[in-house]
Amino acid sequence: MDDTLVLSEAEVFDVVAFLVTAASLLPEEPVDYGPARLLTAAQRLCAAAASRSELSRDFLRHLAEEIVPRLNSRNSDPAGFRAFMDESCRAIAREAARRLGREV
Amino acid sequence: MAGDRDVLTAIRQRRAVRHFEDAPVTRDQMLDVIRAARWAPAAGNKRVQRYVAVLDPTTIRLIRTVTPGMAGHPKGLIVVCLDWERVAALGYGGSRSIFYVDIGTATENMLLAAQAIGLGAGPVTSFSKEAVSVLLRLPSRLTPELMVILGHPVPRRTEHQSRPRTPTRLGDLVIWEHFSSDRANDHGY
Repeated sequence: MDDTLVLSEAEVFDVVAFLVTAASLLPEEPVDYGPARLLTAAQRLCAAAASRSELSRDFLRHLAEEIVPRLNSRNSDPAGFRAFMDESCRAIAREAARRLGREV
Repeated sequence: MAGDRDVLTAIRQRRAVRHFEDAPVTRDQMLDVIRAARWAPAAGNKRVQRYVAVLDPTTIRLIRTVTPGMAGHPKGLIVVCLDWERVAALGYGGSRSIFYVDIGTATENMLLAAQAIGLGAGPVTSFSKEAVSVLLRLPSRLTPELMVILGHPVPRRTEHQSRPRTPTRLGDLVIWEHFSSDRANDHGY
């Protein structure tokens, strides 16, 4: 189950194009665009993969839904944005462990 | 000349729209918006900008692919280009920043015009110029500098992209008469 394919050709291509073009632009853009672009790419991957995921469907769907409002409020609530990223990392650790059947 | 408070109201009400409904944008609407750009103030009235109007859904999709700054799915695009052959022919040397000022004035006119005809619009600069040039088959003399995305705006209460207004006070922006470091310019507005 861990090697289930969850993205289409088009979805992969779109995210690759997004990441490469974003990388080419970021050196001349505000520093907070970096995390924003990476989270946007993560959001697109989560949204695309969630429906086909066998192991992490709910996790991916939830993360995709969470990222959008957090991105939009990152300037008005930088502390909340920072906290969201930290909590997302903790959630990813818990999800990674759960997928392997490990308690953390 | 009589004042026109409607202009101020339009300026205050304008928002950068990022998410759009499925309804199409028409060619006439695109021309209305570009016509407004034509009336924008421009250095020396030289008009070195060219506007590539895009309504084809496939082209818009391709451009979106190379535009990290485009979150939603616009139904029309206006790509503002600089014509460097025209710049050279006019004999401009040194700083060319004035042409980017002109792009700004034209863009604001387009955003306000879009609002006036019931469309939503937003400026986008986070795109790969190289990739967009390929997709639009631009000759080397034209460089894409900014695009205005257009469509029928998703109602604000449901537009998940709407952001809180920037809490910048007018007093943070204005310096009266000359700069002073003792906050003498802080008039509390």
